[in-house]
Amino acid sequence: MMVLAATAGFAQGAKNLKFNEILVTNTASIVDEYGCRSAWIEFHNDAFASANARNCFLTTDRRVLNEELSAPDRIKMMYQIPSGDVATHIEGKQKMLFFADNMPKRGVFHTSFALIDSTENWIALYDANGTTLLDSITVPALGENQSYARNKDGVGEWDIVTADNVTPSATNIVEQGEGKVAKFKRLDSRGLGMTVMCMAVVFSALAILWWLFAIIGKIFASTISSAKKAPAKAEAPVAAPVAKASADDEVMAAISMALHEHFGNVHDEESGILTIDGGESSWHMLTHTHSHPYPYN
Amino acid sequence: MQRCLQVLPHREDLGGSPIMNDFFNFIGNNLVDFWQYTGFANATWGHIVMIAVGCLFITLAIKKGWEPLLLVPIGFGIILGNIPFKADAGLEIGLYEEGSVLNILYQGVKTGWYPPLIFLGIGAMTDFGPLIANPKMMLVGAAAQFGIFAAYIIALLLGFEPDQAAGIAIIGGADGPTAIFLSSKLAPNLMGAIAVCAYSYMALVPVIQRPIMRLLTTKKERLIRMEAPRQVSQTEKIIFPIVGLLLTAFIVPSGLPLLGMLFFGNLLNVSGVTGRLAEAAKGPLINCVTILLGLTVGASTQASEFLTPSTLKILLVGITAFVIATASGVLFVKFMNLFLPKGKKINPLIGNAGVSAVPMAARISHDEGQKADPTNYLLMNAMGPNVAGVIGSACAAGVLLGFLI
Repeated sequence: MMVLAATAGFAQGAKNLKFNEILVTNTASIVDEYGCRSAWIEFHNDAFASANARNCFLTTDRRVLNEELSAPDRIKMMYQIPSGDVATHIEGKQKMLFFADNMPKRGVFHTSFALIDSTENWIALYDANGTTLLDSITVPALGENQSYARNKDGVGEWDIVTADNVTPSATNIVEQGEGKVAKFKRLDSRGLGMTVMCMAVVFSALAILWWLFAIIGKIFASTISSAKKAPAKAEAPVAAPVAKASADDEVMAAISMALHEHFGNVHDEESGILTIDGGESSWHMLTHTHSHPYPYN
Repeated sequence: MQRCLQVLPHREDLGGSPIMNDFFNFIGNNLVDFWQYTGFANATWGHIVMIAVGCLFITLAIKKGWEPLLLVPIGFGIILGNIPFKADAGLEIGLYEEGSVLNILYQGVKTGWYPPLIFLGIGAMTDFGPLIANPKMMLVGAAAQFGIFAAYIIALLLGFEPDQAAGIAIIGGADGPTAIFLSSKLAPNLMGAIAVCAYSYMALVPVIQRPIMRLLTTKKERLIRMEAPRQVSQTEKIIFPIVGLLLTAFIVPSGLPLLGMLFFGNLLNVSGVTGRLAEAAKGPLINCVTILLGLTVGASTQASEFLTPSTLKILLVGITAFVIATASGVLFVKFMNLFLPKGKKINPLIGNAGVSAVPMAARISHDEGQKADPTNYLLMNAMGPNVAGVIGSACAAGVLLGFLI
């Protein structure tokens, strides 16, 4: 069964899961749902799409690196994240946190292994097949409540973070800088800089488009004119002007007809009021000749 | 049946009066509760004003024929969104209540996916031929975007934050979907006012633009005749949306949703092999999205959100933006004429068409041209800057988004 589960395939989008922050000796950081403090491991989903960590494996046992190990043997050395819990679903660019407390019966987010204080810990994340290594990290010996974290979520370099700056289930970078809007407000309070920059970009984009289509237009205009000339030379040199004149005449006739229709269709302003008063009309005559135009029933 | 058998003996035993008192109290309390749920009990002067505004929009659309496809849904949406009800009753009927039908329909506006669908339809309906035939009109479309950035400066002067100012300024592009798209990203709390303002002024384009065009042009300039645009081959028309997308999206990737859909819709139309898709895009699809967008934008203008001093400022900035955009287009054509040889000069009346109110602005150029000379047909020439304005305003929105997000 374990083999079947392991070979069932890759966890959905799990390849984008990365270790993001790890804390080994927890005496003052967050507590779990039982009120206990233990080591924790934070993942980051580096994609914009959501992912699911179900059936993936976590381990600290380096023996799994032996490629000759069969999947069932390998799986025995790892903690499998249970399926069937919607909480294993991670939204894009979001975090998930596991307590490495060797208490798997406490829930999905409690691993079957613990991290060892004051020494180096190696942690690996394997995909649902138990053989594809998604991410691994060697955590150096850390002090109490220090964490080992990337300096940019999911992709940055690893640094030791002091107890005051650990960020469980939160982004590792706390933006301290001035935002774009604030910068514009401070440095371009009248909007002149924005106006000049934006108009330059819009003008450049459309000017390049103009330039390109001026060239394309010339190419096509010359192609069309040479295409028109070529058959005239080959077939009937005398007939060409006649054909052209004929086509032009047809165009002119069509335009004249359209203009005639347009101007000739002008008539008096109508009141727009319908009335039953007044004299006889063809419509009125119908009531005499067809006394019951519609059936009553 | 079982309940009736239990109640009747009690009523007889107790002689009726206490039960009747309870009964009448019960009925009375229910009627009071019902009254508290009605619009009459919850109406404020703000609701009445907004309902009147909605009725005005519908009247203008029907009586005056001003952009009826937009003003009727928006006007009705304003009425719909301002029906007073007991907000804390948890009825899940209000536009801003999670899970209500209107809220679900509003997601297309809030998350900004209606505007690109509208652009798909616009792309399928637009003939870029006049622009391809006379590509220097691109510059007129670019010049008219100055209205956006002048409005940005004015909005800053009126005390708006830079992101809000950008959301308001895009009204100057005279492009409703772009205004909604940008304001949903930069100034979501002002989006209702911005959208209503943009569409209202688009409906008023003939009223706003004509006097400016006459003021800035001489009789001699209005008489300038332009050559009819050359015939454009099918291949050029196919190349245009592809090259246009590549170029503009590489320069302004933040405008991708709008530019991508615009050029895709156009490619469907000109490719010659996707007629059914083009028909769907410019027919049923754009009609459905216009209904949903108009109705929900209108409904988003609830009195408490809309009747604020900010709305008045937005209305002021909006009309200024339209005026400046029109003037910029006309003046830029006059500037271009300084460098063009005699016989190749451009009639400055087509400068107003650089704002992207398609095809209304081009029709105004044509009408004004005909007033000066009834035999001068400017419509096809004016369509060039007009469709360039659509590209220009989408680019401008992308640039603002790129700078401020």
